[in-house]
Formats: sequence, structure tokens, C-alpha cells
Amino acid sequence: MRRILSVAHNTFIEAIRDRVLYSLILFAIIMILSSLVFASISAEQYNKIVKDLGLTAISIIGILISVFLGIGLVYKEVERKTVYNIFSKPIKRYEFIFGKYLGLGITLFVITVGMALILFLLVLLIEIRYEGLISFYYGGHYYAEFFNAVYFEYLEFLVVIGIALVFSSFTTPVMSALFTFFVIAIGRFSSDIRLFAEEVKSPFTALFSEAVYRIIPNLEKFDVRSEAVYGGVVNPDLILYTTAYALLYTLALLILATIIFERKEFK
Amino acid sequence: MSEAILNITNLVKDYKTGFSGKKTRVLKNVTFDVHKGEVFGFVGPNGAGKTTTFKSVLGFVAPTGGKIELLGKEHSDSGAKSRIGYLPENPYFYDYLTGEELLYYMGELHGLRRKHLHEKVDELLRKVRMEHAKKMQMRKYSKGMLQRIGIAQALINDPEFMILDEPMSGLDPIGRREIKDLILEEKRKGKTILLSSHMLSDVEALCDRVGIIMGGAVIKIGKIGDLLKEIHTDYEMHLEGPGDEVKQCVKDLRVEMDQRAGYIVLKFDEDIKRKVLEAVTRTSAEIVSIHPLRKSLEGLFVEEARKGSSQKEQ
Repeated sequence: MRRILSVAHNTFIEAIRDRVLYSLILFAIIMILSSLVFASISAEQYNKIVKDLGLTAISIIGILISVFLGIGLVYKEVERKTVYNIFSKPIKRYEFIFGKYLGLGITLFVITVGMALILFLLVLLIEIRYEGLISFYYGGHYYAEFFNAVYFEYLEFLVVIGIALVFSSFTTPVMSALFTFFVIAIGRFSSDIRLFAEEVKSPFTALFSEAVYRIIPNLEKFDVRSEAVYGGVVNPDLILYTTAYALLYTLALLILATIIFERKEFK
Repeated sequence: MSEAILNITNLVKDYKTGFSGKKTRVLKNVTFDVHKGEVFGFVGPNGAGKTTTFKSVLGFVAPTGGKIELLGKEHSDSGAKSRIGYLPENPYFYDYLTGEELLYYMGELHGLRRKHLHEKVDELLRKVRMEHAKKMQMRKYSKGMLQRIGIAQALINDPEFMILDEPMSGLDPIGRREIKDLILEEKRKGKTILLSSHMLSDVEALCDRVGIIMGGAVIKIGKIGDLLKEIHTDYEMHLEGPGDEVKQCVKDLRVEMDQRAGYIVLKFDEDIKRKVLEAVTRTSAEIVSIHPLRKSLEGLFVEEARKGSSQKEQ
């Protein structure tokens, strides 16, 4: 376990010092702040628009960071031959895979919390500006739902890092990025694929669509932004279920990445 | 014979190449061992199989055949890995980590606790003269600095056995001297070292025994002194006098003749030394000097490479 944490710690340090990350975070902050411009067109819907656009910005940037850092997690180490230093030490390959994953997971956690706090402060400031401090004492602002939406977005990042890591363990970053975005695109239309499988006449296509639906992660589960914006009940069971889904799916991805990586030769 | 730290027997490695999956044999029954306390030099031209041998020992690639025993254990045993230090060829570390962070990281991978590493890290940074750059991110390091921090990380667990792949490559003379001194210091402490190098003069100065690998096969192993005895010695004779006369006289012998700095220079093999002497004394030329050319590992290496290529042609 100590070796996993050590790999995670250094992956985190490497990631937070990477300049690419800062440009993406800057982009996220610009996106969040730009929601103010869109929101100014409607005073009534001000907060809702800021929340909606802000949460979408966090999701987009989080996914971009997960993919772009995730695809390099293993590939970069093999390509730049840093694996020679690592695996001349008594570390198992699964420890490395889990450590790399955990390191990026922690990085994403810090970034997500940072972005969410910026957005939350913005939302609070708008509320104080328009409704005064008194508004805190009344319901209807969906703070719990807001943080729940961010949490679900983070769970989605965890799954996306796992997908990128699997591809990163056997193919180039460009191909990994393409495959990962492809999986994300399918995952985001999961229910449509299910529907397609039920409606389509050809049994082969139906079977294929059903298989895709079963294998590809259902990323729609992680989108509860509308509840955060327009109100809705945060069901504890749903939180538990979605957390378990994300963690189990990620575990399966990590096991798959380990199996691939175990067989890899560092030529 | 002293205890073998590394024992490689009939190591074979095939790589699949291209889309066709055609196999290329890069290691052909490589067999040698490294004894406790010695510095063993593994030399060979580029692509001869030195690095592949090291990678097989460390489990980076799976051998196609053969047996590797490391510190009395199966080479893939992680227990063995905790007792070795490895410096890869052209070591590359992490751009955004500092030298000090790297040493902590590598120490932790050995299962050492951070709080127990402080002293060791400081000591190693002092030893490789990298204290001044310990807080600098490694993307700013020069080649020599990377090599030095590479040696430091290979020493973090105080290993019994060190595998150094081209430790002197790409370094300037001062850098080479420093690395050489570090290796000699470890040798004095009783560590066993296996190193590969292109710098044959360095290998000659550092190693007790050498193995020469060519085309994936080990073609010679032995103490440097013993190996050098095997190669023919060339002699060089300097003469003063008429060049044409000397040329005429030695024309039937295998003698290289040259004229430089006012001397006639003859170069010939030890076997025909007497015949050449007899021939030149018949001329009016005067012998100024005759001396054996220094035998070197390079001479042996070149001779073996020539033999190898002529065998191929046949």
C-alpha cells in the first residue's frame, strides 16, 4: 500500500506542476466567469444560468483534464523510459497502475473542489446582490443539490480516468484520446443505445447494441445538473448507488489495465 | 571460485518485428556469471544485446529461453530487486520533480519510510555533488547531472549489486572521471558491479573481468590481463636510411610501411619479428628503435569484431 501511495504522491506532484493543467484551469475559470455575461440577459434566471453554465464548465474541463492527463499516465512512463527506474525497484505492476490512477484521481479532486468553490462563491455573491443575506435562511437554493451535482461530476471523472488509463496501457496517446472520447460519447447516450437495441429489427444489431450498452459505462447516471439548477430531491440511495457504480466500474477498468500492463515488455 | 551474484545460463531472447510478427533473435545463448565483489564489464558494439541482457535480468522483458539467477533467487523475485541498484542507459527521470524528490520517491519504492530517508538522501546528494541542485526540477538538469542523480537513485537502498548501463556515455572527461571515482568507491566497499560501456579504456581501468558480446552472443569472457595475452602483439620499428631499399627487403613479409617525421616506420606482427630484424640488418638503414605496441581492450575488441565479420562473409 505504501508503494501505491508513493506512486500516487509523485503522480500528483508531477500533474500539479504541469503547465498544461494550468492553461486548462484558467480556461475553466474563464468559462465559469463568462456565464455572468450570458446571465446578464435575464435578471430572474441569473443564478440558474450561472449555476448551469458553471457546472457544465466544470464537467467539460474535468473531462478534458481526465482524458489528457489520463492518456499519458502509463504511456509517458514507458515512452520516456522512467519505467526502468520504477521497475528495477521491488514494486509490482498493479501497485504502479493503482498508484498512477490514485495520483490523478487526487489531482482531479483538488481541481474539482477548487472550481466548485469558485462557482459556489459566485452563486452566493449573486444571491446576496439580488436577494440579500436573508435568502440563506429560506429554501429553494439547492446548495446540497449543487454539491451533489459536483460530486457526481467527479465520479464521472474517476471513470473517465480509468478508461483513459486502460487505453494508455497499450496504445499511443492520440489513439487513447480518440478511443476515450469515443467511449465518453457513447456513454453519454447510453439510454438512446438501450432504446435503439429494443426498437431495432435486426437481431444482430439489437444484440450488438445491447452489448455496447452493457459494456460501455452509463455516463448519464452522473448528470444531475438539472436537479441542482431547477431543484429536485437528493436521494441518498441514488448517491450510494451511483458511487458504488463508479467505484466498481473503475475497479474493473484498473484490473483490465493491470492485466494488459502485466504482459507489457519494456523494450 | 567466489559466490556468483548473477548467473545467466543460455539466455535467449526473440523480438517480434513488424506487422508480420517475424522473430528476430537478439540474444543467443548468453551465458556468464558475475562474482561477488568484482566489477564485470560487458562490452559490445551498439545493438549487440547488452541492454537487452540487463532488461532480461531486471524482468523488463521476458526471456524466450534460459535461466537467470540473481542473488541466489529467481531473477523476477522482488526480494532480489530490493538488493540491487540500477542505472539505465541515458537515464531520464521526471521533468517536474526535483532531484531530492526523486531520491525520496525511489527510496519509498524500496519500502523505506520517508522519515528514515532524510539522512540517506542528504548523504547521496553530497556524494554525487548534487546538493546545489536538489531543489531544481530535473527538466533543467544537464546530461551529467542526470547521470549523477541516476547513480544516487541506484544507491538509495545501499545495494549489494549494481547494474550500470553505459554509466559514462555522453559525459565530458571531468564527468567521466567523477563517475569512475564513484564506481571505484563502491567497489572498495565490496559491492559487486556489472557495467556496460562503449568506453573501452574506462572498462579496462575499472573492471576485473569482461565479457564481449557481439551479435547477441557472448564471444569472450575473462580477466582483462588473460584476454590481452591472447591477442597478437604488433611491433613498431623506426629506421633511418633509404626507404626504397628497406621496402624492397621486406616486400615478402607482412609488414606495414610508412614514412613519418623523417623515419621509416615498420609495423608487423610478433611472429615475424625475427625475420623482419634479419631483413632490415641486410640493408644500409639504421634501426633507431623497436618496441611492442601497447595491447589494449580496444585491440582485442577490434580483432574480435573483424573475426566476426569475416566469419559472416564466409
